[in-house]
Amino acid sequence: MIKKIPILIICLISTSTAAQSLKDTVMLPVVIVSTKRQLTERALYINSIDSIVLVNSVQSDLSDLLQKNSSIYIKSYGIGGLATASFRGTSASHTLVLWNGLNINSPLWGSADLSLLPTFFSDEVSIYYGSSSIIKSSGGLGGCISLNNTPHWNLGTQVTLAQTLGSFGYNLLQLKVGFSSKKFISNTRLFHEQSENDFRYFDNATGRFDYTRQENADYKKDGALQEFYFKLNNRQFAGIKLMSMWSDRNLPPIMSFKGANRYENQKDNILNLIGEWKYYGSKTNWAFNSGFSRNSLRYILSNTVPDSTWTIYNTEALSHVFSNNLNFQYNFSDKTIIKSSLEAIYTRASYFDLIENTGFDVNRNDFKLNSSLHHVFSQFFSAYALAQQKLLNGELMPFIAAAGFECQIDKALTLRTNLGRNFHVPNLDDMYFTPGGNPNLKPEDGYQADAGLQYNGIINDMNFQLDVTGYAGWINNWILWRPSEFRYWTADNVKHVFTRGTELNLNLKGDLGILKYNLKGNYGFTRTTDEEKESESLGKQLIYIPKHVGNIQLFLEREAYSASISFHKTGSRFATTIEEKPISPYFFMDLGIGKIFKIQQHSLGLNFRVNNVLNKQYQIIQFRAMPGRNFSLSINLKLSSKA
Amino acid sequence: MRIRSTFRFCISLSCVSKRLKGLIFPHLEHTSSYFFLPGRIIVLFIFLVSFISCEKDVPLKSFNVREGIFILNEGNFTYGNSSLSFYDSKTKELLNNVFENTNGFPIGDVLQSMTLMDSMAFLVVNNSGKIIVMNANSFKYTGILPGFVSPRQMLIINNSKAYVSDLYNNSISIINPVTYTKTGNIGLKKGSESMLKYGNYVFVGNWSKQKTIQRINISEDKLIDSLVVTKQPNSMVLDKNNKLWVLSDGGLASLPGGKVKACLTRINPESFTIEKEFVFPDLNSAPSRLFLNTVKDTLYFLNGSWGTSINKGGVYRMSINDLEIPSTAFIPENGRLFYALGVDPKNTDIYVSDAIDYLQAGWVFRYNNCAVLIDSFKTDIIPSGFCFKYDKF
Repeated sequence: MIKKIPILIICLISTSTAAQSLKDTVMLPVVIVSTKRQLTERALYINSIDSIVLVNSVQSDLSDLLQKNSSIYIKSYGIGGLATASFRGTSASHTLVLWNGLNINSPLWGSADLSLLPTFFSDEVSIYYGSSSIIKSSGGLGGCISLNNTPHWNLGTQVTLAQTLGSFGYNLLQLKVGFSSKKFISNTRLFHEQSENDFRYFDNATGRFDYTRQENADYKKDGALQEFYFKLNNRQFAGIKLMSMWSDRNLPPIMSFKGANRYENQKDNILNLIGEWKYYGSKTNWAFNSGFSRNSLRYILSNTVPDSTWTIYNTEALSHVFSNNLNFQYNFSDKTIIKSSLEAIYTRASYFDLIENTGFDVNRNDFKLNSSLHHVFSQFFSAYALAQQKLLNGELMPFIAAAGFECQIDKALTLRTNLGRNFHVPNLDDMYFTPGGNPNLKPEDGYQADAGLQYNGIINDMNFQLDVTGYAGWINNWILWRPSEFRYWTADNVKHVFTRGTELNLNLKGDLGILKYNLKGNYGFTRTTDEEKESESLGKQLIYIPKHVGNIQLFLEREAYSASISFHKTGSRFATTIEEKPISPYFFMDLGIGKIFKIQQHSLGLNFRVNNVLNKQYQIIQFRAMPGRNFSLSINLKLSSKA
Repeated sequence: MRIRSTFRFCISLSCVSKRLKGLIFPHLEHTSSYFFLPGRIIVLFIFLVSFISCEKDVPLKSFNVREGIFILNEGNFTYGNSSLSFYDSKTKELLNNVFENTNGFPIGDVLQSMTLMDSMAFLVVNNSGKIIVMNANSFKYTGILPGFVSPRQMLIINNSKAYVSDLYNNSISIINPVTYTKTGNIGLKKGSESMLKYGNYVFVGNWSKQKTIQRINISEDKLIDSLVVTKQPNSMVLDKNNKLWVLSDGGLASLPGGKVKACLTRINPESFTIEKEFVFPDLNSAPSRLFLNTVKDTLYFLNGSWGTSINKGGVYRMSINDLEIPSTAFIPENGRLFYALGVDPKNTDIYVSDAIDYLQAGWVFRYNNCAVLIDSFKTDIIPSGFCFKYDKF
């Protein structure tokens, strides 16, 4: 049993200098500065999570952050459990996750577990939709989530520490120790999270029709992030970043389970390491980075009866990825940039079933050459074009290309469009799992286009930003597991999918005297259908993909006080491939209030949250219980050597 | 009801927001309310999403059936979406999801098998580790036996005793089907699947990655001996001559030892020795679901064509006096994927299922004994078994 720790450690954490600026007592009138993005990002559909949101979400993980701040569909197995992201109706393996440029999707399953990526470890979180993700890397048929750590020079020494206590035995400890001079930075972040997770839920799956307590859902997570940055001279920079996460999670059975005592446990161990060197010349920029990613997963399922214990599953999965990347950028002028990169990746992955005594151990080599041209035609029109070629184990992969333009229709209104061709290499598990893996699988092939209008202006002293985007795409050779003649399932390139929809992002900012407010909203409509001609599910929405996802958040700040309110809604999903058996939609609301006490250049913060205020009983995945109303209290202390 | 309560909530929130505006910004109280646009947007959003999220409560239903066929829809492993259908073979009326529609809660995860005893039905739910008891006429839930590891089949021994086989727990559970209690175990040291009663014996097939039939003494609830057969015996029947027939699929190619040719074995249950083996000529054959007709002189089974490349797959029929496995199917699959088989004990109609892509309602096809299609209908995800409910005939 995890012991409940009623220790209140008075410490402070501050994860962003932008958060400090919000607490500045000098009241300035609202000044809207409309700046264009840097040239290499023009026309791309990128949504960067605001720093105020990152600060407010510092206790959460990436799945919670994205669920509340984007139209991405997050599929979660429960609090602390596996969570994956689905863009535009594609699968979790079509969502590329980059950590400081390093691809951290599992080469075995293709997806990344977002519950193992704490928001606390990221300084920037950006979302690249559809073909805009190709500028970062290939494989993101739905899109890309880019997590970055960035240097902030000459801040002196800062120590920040926070503790959060919450319902169901929740305890979170976060520590950041930073030293920042004009030429050297060291940041250390430590993270510990644990929870009994024994929330009450309404059991409507066994005939009890009463509240019961969740069992075997406790978890522990520990993490560390170390960054070093060096300013070698005015043009050269170097950095080393190391991130590690350990998690030990008990996995509860679904609500209808009434069997013998079941023990289901998953242990994850992640290590990501990257070394970077950057040179900024007058015309040329160079960058080289070398990265390593290790991911291990141990899973066990056993049942205990009075006389004995039966282990049913006991598996080990391990992957190592080594990557080297050389980037070159030539600035012809302030209107034209050409970028080129060369990448080499070596992957080794293994999976073993210790009960069946089967498994595989494989490796593969990738080489990739990428070039892009970015040009500003006029004050109102800019465009880019990109081409990429990959060699996988010596075999030429499908050619990748993308292009887009951005046109400023008037001072506040911009039209943006992108189109691209992308592909996703088969996951190693799909190729080599025993039984049923298919080593002859072809890459999944995707074409996508989107067009968006963005309004960014001032209405009645409010900074008003509204982005409406429509998209359409086609994915061929989608890999699917299905029964074979050998009485087990096999993987094959069988599916053809047509995806289309709309995304809406709203951002309102302003102040009413001493009260500052920020209202954010996201909505996504996704219509993704199976277009396999001889299939009975032709023209039907893909299984478990919701048509509607939306959220809205309001942040308020008045001097030292802050408040937030957020709503999230996911529409119904179908539990079959022919649009039958809809799973109920779900909706929840969270509230938070806080106060900052400033003590010279130091500060002490208190934050109280109520999650699922309306105490809704909901399920993201059918028959997997989620908690009702719950609470948390955070105390943060920041000590800084500089004002 | 929910729309009205949501509307009231939104109105009250709007009033609260106006009041808050007055308290926080008294100088704005009488100015245009446009200044509190964020609050109005929130109110509108709450109203819209709550409207969209309205759910309708589904009323429970009442049933009273007599004779017909239960179709077990096992659902997807770990998804908890199994269900039960009922088909009246006289009227051809189909009722889907009868258990949940009657009782208001689902069966659970992987409905594996069903056993009838008088008016009671025992639903063995494999990955929920339980047996649900319901009234076979009204479908009303009456009780539960929890605490199993991976229960597969149930065999009624008498009014106070039944055996439950288990895939991973290397023993058979002894239960009392009237009091819904577990009364003991029979250690087998292997997983168990099919069971058949003959005299004072129960024969148990050790299926998953195994190759034996074990014999239990019912009076003593004790394992006596075992007999080695072809790999993975999945089903067995007792013919009119009191010969035990065991169908083995030959194992899996991917597992250690690989796959061998499937085999139909005839065993003398008294001496517990093999009398004859009928070896399937095609190594790829993976037959399953062995049944007999009413007079117990004809065998039926599915010969495993689980894809479209083997064109001989389908329902096979052979007499107990035949000398070899038939070379062609009695009811060919013709591109379908036959998953389950049932033989009506009253009129020898043949029922087969096609699970399609395993993620939607599957087909059930009903043929007469001349292989003529009589009816077809869709039930639920992966129709995997048939249980025939008849008054005595």
